Amino acid sequence: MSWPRLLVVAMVLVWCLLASPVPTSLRGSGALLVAFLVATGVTLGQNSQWRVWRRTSQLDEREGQARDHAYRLAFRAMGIGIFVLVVTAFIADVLHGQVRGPLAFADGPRYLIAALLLFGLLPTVILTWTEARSPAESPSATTSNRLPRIPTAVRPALAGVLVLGLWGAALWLVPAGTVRAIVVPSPNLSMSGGTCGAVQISRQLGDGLGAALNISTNICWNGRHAWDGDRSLGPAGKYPFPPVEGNPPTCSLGIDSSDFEPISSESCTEEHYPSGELRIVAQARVSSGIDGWLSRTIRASIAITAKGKVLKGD
Amino acid sequence: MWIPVILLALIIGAGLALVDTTVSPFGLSTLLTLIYVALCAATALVVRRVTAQPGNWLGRRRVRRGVVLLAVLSCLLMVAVPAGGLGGTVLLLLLFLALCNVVLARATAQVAVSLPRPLDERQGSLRDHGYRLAYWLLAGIAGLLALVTYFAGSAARAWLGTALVSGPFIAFVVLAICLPTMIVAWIEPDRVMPAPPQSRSHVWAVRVAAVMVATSLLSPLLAAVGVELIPAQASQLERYSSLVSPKGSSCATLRRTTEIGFWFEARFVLDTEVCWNGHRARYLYGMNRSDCMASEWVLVSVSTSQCARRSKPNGTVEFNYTAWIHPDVLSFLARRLRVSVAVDRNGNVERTK
Repeated sequence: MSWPRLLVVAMVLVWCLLASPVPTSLRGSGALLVAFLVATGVTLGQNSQWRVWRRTSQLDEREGQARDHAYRLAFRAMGIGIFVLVVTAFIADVLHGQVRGPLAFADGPRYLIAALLLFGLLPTVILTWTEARSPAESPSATTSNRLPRIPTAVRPALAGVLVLGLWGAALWLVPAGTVRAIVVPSPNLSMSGGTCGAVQISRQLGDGLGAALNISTNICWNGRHAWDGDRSLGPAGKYPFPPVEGNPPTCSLGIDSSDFEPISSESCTEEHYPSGELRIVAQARVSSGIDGWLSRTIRASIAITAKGKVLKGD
Repeated sequence: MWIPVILLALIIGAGLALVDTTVSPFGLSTLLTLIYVALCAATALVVRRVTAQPGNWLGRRRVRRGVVLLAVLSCLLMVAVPAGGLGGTVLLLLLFLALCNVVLARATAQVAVSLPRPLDERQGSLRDHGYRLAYWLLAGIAGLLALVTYFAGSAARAWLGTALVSGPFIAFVVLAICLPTMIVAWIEPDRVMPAPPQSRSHVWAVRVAAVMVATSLLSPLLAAVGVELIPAQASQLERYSSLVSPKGSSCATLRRTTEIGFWFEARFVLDTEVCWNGHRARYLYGMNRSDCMASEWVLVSVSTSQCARRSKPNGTVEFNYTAWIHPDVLSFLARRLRVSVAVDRNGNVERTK
């Protein structure tokens, strides 16, 4: 098999991984997959003289026919690709234990990116597969270099780095979303004479394309104090207010990594105030795909009063 | 080959077959639905073997563009259809789109799809240009829609989620099938060359194909109109005396079936047991709110407008059920049906409908 076809196979496999319901989370490696697809797309684009983007008048008859044949196949393949994406979104939703139905597709940044890559790369990929020739065999390899100052072999790598760089820069520039906190009282759960409820806190960076800080825990309150219901169920088995000496008030909360940006370090602390108010402060370090070269801390905090009221977080 | 027509016909057939899950497995309506799907498939097989020249009228670019605009308008209306799955409006628009596509396929001499005969250079160039435009148009629309709805907030995402199970997704599928034909019809210049003479057998094949296409498209419409026009078929009231009755009372089971429509149909079964003792009549079953529904309905929707049971001072018990029946195609049509029965204190049936 020629190397362009091998690249096509690799691209298809990587795209399938991006769109696949398994694994349910890419744990931050999504940006690398996108960079790989863009870089290989640039490679194949160079190999095909960017014919799918060129005017008919710039192509000879044979090249034009090959390009048009690729477009005909790409048009049909695009429909199939969208159908595959919708189905995998449904399956991923079920694997997540959720039943959001079609919202799973609309709400998943993974599928958005996979769809955009599909639209942009499909004609080039199909043209490469149907022709599968190396640059040396191309009759007009030297005529289509529109960026002569940059060596051809470097451009794919540059494209990949550019994708990661832009992603990382966006991570820096995009403001973090507002803190969303929901408290759902649990009438059946009470502790030490208090009422308990499930609390979900979330803060997104880059609308799901960056990272998401999602925390869920149980909070209890009795009119005089609010406390972390999960922690009170720990081995100490004691009502944890005030905090036990020598036992740092660190809440053990789960923080989810996003598909495209990994979360490196995470911490969550509780702060108790004399008024009985409990403040939960969670923060995480989000890194870009280039080994933490660009990273940023996102922070989410909410306060729960002794009567179970959630004060505005930041 | 009229691949777009084939696929559209199959989509319509499958949509009609799957849209209603209350079909009884051995009912006549189910059989008719299966026959209809088979007709669609047979039509597809016939028309794929027939190529027809557009003729003078469809050869005009202005006419073709008018048909394309109508098809685009239908797609936009489909996008605007509120959520609720495959509703009657979507099916109607789908039928209209199929009709538009048949016209466009003829107007373009099916150059946008692969043909058993080779295309000349002009036709090949036209088809290729159509596919290139179609690809970027559809990819652009879908990509832009996905981007905008994703970043516009949760409400927009919720809309996209709903769109995937309603009209907009069907519009996307239709465009994914028909867009090249529509674009070729839009960009092709006026035809000035007269159509080549056709053999007699070919003319007949075209006529047969046209009749089959017309039958495939019109039969759902006729069935929908039939819901409105065909008289209701009501059986005689059957009355069976009950062997076991409460002390001092007599009981009987009353049964009557009413059917509305043919193929697109609804069936209502009045099935109740009433007892009487000379002072008053009372029901044992069959006059509850849960009995106010059709027992079977195929490709129609049934909405209850009245459901009432009443015991009169003179001891008569009566039951009235009124419903509106809307065909899934041409759903603005409606047929009112009333099922009513009254039994007096001596067990006489005063009135049935």
